Amino acid sequence: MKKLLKVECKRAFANKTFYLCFGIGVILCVWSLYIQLVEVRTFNKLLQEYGMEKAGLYYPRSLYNSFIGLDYAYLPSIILYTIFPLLVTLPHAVSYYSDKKSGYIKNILIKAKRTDYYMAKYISVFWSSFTSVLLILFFSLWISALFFPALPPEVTTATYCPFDSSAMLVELYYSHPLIYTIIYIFIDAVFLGIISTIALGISCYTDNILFVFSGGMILYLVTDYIMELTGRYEFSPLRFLKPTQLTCNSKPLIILSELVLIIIVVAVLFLRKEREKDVF
Amino acid sequence: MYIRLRHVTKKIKQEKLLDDISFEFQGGKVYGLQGKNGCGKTMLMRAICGLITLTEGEIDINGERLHKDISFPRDVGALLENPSFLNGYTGLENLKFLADIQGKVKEKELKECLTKVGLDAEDKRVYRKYSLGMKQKLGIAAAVMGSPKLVILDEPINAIDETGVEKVRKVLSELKQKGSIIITACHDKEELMMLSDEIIRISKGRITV
Repeated sequence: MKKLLKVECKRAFANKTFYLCFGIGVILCVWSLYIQLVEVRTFNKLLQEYGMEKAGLYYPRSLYNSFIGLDYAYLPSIILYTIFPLLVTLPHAVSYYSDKKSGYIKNILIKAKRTDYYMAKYISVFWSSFTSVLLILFFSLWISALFFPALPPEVTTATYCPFDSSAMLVELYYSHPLIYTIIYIFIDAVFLGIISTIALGISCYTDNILFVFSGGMILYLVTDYIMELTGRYEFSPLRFLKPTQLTCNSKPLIILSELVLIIIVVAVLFLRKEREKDVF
Repeated sequence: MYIRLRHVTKKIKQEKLLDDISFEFQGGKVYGLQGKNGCGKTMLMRAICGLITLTEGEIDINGERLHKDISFPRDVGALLENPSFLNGYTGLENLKFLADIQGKVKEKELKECLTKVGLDAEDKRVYRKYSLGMKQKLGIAAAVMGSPKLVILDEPINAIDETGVEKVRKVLSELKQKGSIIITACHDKEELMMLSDEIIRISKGRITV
């Protein structure tokens, strides 16, 4: 199992699509930072020209509202959190489909136990997606920290999210914003890592690579659409994965329940049923 | 080394692809499977590799029952139908990936193996850029790396030139001398006769001779 896991991880992290995923994330993070820097520069010019009395009072931008996860206003952040399930599928999640389709799986299954192969595939898919989310979000945090001071969030300025007193970990955000940000980055990485394994479950039942690739994303968007129709925003991962908790307050129990539900469904479909099937 | 098939039957949607096959393969021999397309040669190979479950019967490999004591033969190398490898890696890297799963074969042996089948171990081209013949040779190299006790080759000389075929013959002969069981299938009757010590004729999922 260990050897197979090592081989699968090597495949995942040496893959060009892993770098493509990180590259797309980096572009969005840099774009987000650029927009904010332009805005700051424009405001500074106004401040120089007209002075504080005419330009208005201004609480400077901070790391904690410029980091892509905590930015609530700009397009790159919206795009990133919308396409995240698609991005995390890039590194390794389609590899089971490819192994099966090309026949490569036969090379492996005559050398390793089926349980080991399916388990190694599941872990490596999760691990590669988890790592790519961490890399993208920490990259954003790092480049934002290079340009913006880590000013503590000030709720009265109305420029910081979360602002609702019932939001998840809100007290931590205003007392220890860095810890809040790091915890949320890990929540996102775990949840999106698990979302990427949906592709494994879909691979068992379809011959269409597009569906395997986009299945997680479709589910993510459809869930959001249904939850929006029913007004239960807190059930939509698209909403609760955003550390701003802008449109809904995240509920730990809901996040955990959805996580467990996905794990169980994929485990039954992929780890249990698929390994019993004949390989042709 | 032996493989004992007892009443091996595989049905898919009421169609018998393997029909009550009983046979014993012995080490140090090359067995050639002969028969028309769809007669069950590849299915029999898949069954021996443990890739499919049997509807009836059992396969005994050196006293261990497939799907009961073991999920695949302990020491097997196989090329089933078309060779399939990772497109973005060289031949040697591909072999390394597979060898690392069991951790039995060292890099030096992998290089030797590639040379034996007529491939350059230092070739930096990735698998995607290989010709059909080169892909086939890499498939054979993957099947014979580490000199497994059981080698299964389905149409091994497809797309391989005369020099390559000669090398394949030599490799198989070496494995035979080491006591391996070699099971092969080939559409070229003459070549199959030349490669094999024993011909097994299969028709409609049954061994006829």
